[in-house]
Amino acid sequence: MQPFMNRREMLKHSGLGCGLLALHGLMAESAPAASQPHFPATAKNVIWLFMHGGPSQMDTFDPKPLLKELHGQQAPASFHDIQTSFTDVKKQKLLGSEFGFSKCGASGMKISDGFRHMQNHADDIAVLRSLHHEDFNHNPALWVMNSGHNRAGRPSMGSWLSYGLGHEANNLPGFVVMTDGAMKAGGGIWGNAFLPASHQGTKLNASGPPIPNVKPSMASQQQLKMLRYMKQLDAGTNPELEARIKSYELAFQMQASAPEALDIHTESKATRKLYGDNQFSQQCLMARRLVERGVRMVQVYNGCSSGDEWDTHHNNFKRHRKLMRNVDQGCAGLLADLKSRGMLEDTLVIWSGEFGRTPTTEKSHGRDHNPYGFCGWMAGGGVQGGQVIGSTDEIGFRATEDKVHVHDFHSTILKLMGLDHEELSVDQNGLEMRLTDLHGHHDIYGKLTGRTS
Amino acid sequence: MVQAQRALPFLEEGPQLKTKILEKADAHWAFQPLANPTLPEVKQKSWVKNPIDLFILRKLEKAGRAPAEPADSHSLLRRAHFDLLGLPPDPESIEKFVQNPDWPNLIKELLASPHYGERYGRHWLDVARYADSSGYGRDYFFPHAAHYRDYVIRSMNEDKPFTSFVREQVAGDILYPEDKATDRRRYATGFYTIGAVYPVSANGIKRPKRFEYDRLTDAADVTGEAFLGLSFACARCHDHKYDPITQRDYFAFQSLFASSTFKEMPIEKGKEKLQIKDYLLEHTAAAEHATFFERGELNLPVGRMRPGLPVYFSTGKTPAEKPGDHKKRRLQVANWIASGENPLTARVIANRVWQWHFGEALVTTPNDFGLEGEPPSHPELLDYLATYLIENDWSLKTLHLHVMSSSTYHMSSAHAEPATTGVIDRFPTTRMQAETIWDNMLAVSGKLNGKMYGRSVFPPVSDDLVQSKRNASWETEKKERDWMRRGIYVAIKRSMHFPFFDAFNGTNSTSSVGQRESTVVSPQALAMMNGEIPRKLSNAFHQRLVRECGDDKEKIIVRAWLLAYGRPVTEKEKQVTLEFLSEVDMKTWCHALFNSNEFVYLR
Repeated sequence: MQPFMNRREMLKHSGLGCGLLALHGLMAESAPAASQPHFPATAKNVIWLFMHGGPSQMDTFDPKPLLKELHGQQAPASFHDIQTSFTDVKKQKLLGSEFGFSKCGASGMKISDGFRHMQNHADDIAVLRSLHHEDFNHNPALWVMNSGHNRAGRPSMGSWLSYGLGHEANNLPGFVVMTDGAMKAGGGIWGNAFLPASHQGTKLNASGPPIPNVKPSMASQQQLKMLRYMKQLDAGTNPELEARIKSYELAFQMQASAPEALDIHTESKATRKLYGDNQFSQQCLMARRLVERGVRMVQVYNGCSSGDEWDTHHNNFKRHRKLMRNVDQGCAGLLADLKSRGMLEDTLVIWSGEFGRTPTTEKSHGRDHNPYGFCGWMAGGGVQGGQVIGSTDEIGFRATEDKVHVHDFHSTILKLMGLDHEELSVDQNGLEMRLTDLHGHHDIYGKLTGRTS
Repeated sequence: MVQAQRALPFLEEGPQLKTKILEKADAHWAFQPLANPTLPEVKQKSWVKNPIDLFILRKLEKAGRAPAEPADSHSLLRRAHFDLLGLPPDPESIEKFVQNPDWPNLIKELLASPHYGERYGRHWLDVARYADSSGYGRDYFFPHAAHYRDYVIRSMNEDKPFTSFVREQVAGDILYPEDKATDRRRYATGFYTIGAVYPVSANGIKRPKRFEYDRLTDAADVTGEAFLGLSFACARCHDHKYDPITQRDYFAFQSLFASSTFKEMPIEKGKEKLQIKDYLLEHTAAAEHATFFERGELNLPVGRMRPGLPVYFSTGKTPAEKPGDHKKRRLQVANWIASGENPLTARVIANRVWQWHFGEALVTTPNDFGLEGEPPSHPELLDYLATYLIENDWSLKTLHLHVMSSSTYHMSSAHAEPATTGVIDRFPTTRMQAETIWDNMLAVSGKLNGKMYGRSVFPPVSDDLVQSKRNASWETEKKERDWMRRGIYVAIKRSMHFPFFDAFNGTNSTSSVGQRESTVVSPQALAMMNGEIPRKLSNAFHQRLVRECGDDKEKIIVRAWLLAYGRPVTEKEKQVTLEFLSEVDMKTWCHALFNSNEFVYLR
């Protein structure tokens, strides 16, 4: 890897000596220093693999043998009051999974046979089977999973992390987002809301060059002078204008760093083979490269384009099989690669959707949305693999034990990153605003990490 | 139409709305008749220029906040120019206005400019989910879309009453059957033929059932969002969870569009290459009906729905059709929306107009006035504006003049206090939208080809991008002058948005857009710093300055400031610039001005 010159080297090589020392000052300001965390952190960075549309827990990481036995029967009366998006639970039949599950790893955790590659990583992941929240429609659920609030207007978790911990790298954005299509809820879900605009997610283009126009159109000394001049002209106090200047300073750095960071062709054949060769695999590999270079959080949204969403209202099994196959190797490759580089120790990898799916049918072979109990997993960043935390009821409808509400989920991630969810707040119109609203605990932290605090 | 669906039985009346939803709807602010609000009392009476200011100031005084000072005349002039025309003032008009700051006259002149229609027309095209191609599979090009776009620009310029604008778009062909030559008959209903729907699948198979359903869905959804601020879309799959719209309402509403089909018009000579023919909205001979699909799924048809307006929002059940009535169904829709009794229409457009002036709306969910939408920050002001619009024959230009005559509009964007959501105590600092940045670069460089109307144009894009898209085609204009047109004329291909616009949060074109996002990210800086077109245009700006000022550096700087920022250069800026010019060439300096904050921000 040929990292871009650091500032000192840049000055040395520029041959302009003291003329550029003033610019040194300019660029120094553009690099937000990493802030002191509240707690000792076990994770430095996050890669969140986001399965857009809502993957089914019963078909992935939460096997329900009883559901298979009861397949075709009406859901027991105790479930009839559950409100779902499109179906009336009391009129629906139970739908057992068509997937087989295998005992995996030292723990014997059961993972769906749809995830053949991930089955080899049971000892790396902690499966959370008791995630839950209240929002059974996509957009509110996407918002709540990202911002802790089910409507537009609050900062995303990536923005909070970038805000709370600062950037490690001054030549890449603190928060990078990749998708494979347009999002249902729009780009606001990785937005900064009332946090400074420099903390918003920077989305890479899904086709064509990930970051266009990255080739400099003039010599770098020339550009630096231009930036300094622009800054002299725009001595405004408006935060958005300041953020725009920062975006230029970052853009300047990215010209050298981004092409290199995103060029997966420099990876060895063996590494590329590890990830597989579809778009998701490539995005996972890019995510590793970005985190390696100090990007605080990377989010990879999978299943965004219509028809390929994890939103399997019909043909649940056929579509899940395809969707799972599509991400399986990328997820597994990412874990293996991070591990072999020693990066898994401080990189937290998260896999989840915005909710799960119902154990009851929608038509004959579909599953409806289910926010009341769903699964995800975490790996790395201090998380002890090979364990299952929490559970749903016997058919997988509601979270029952060690329940992890979305606020608890956020609060736990912040804690792993060394941030106290009650301390990480900003004043907005006289109200103290937090990612976790007025809620959130991290009761599972001990189990998750094997640590007491 | 498909035989199998005809055989389906008609569905009779469905279950009533749930009481819980009804109660909430009955109490919901947006569904109430317009109130003619009493004008509030304020303390600082001298600040008030018209009733708008009373509502704004009342809220500020209650919150113990003060309005910002008035903006200086240069800022005001630039603000008004970009607001109404989307173009910068030229040095001559700056001089004229500064010598004689006759504000009402300025606004009247700007409103009379044909460029007004290009600016406000573009706003409407966002709402109308305008694009030049079908998207998906083959991304068929729509030659007729440009006719609709031109109709919108003309309508804005003519200041036709907003209700006429609505009625023409929904039912122009029914209203003016004899009026063969005019665009209001032929092209206004292009509103319905430019959606992201396509008759043929990606592998070339005709799919009439899917097309029919997609087109009715698009028609119902865009009608609800654009004119009424109602998101019907949810009710396609199930009774609306929050708003008083049942799934039967939804399909009955679709049925109002079922007898209108897209008629393919003969291709003009020399245009055979185009993939599809012009669409014109026409009626079928026999009455057709939309099919009610369980959960909105095409493979689950249940029965046919008789046409009808959403029961809660109209005066009850729509009477049964007499023979031949099916040709007037869209007229029913048009009259319902444009009726003075529908409080949503006026509120929704008044809110949009406010947003188009200030960048921030009173109701921040401009396409959702339903129970899930946000409440207005200034409810009385919204009703006042809506009432004002109605009382002035739905003339948007009259409303513009009224809004722009207020002290509120004259406020500076600077304020000692930090900005707070929902509090209007300053003029917001907003980044220009994508097309405006584009227009500004073209205008300031002197390269703008001011030609109006006509087919959509294709500026150069990178080959990488075209190659990365399946089925994308982008035939770049051969002559530079042909693409150096205002952004509204740049083609919007649904499968491949023009990358410069995309970088600056251009319109999404899939469904109606009430408010664009406005991000500040580094890829935008890269587009401005390294993109070929900004480079080219800043070079042209340099040539223009030399052409107009010779080699007198100071003269050039003064002129550059007027052209790029619409104001005189300060002594400090001049010094800084001279210093900069001692280190870089003048082209780089011009490029820097294009990149600077002031060039792309309005305050």
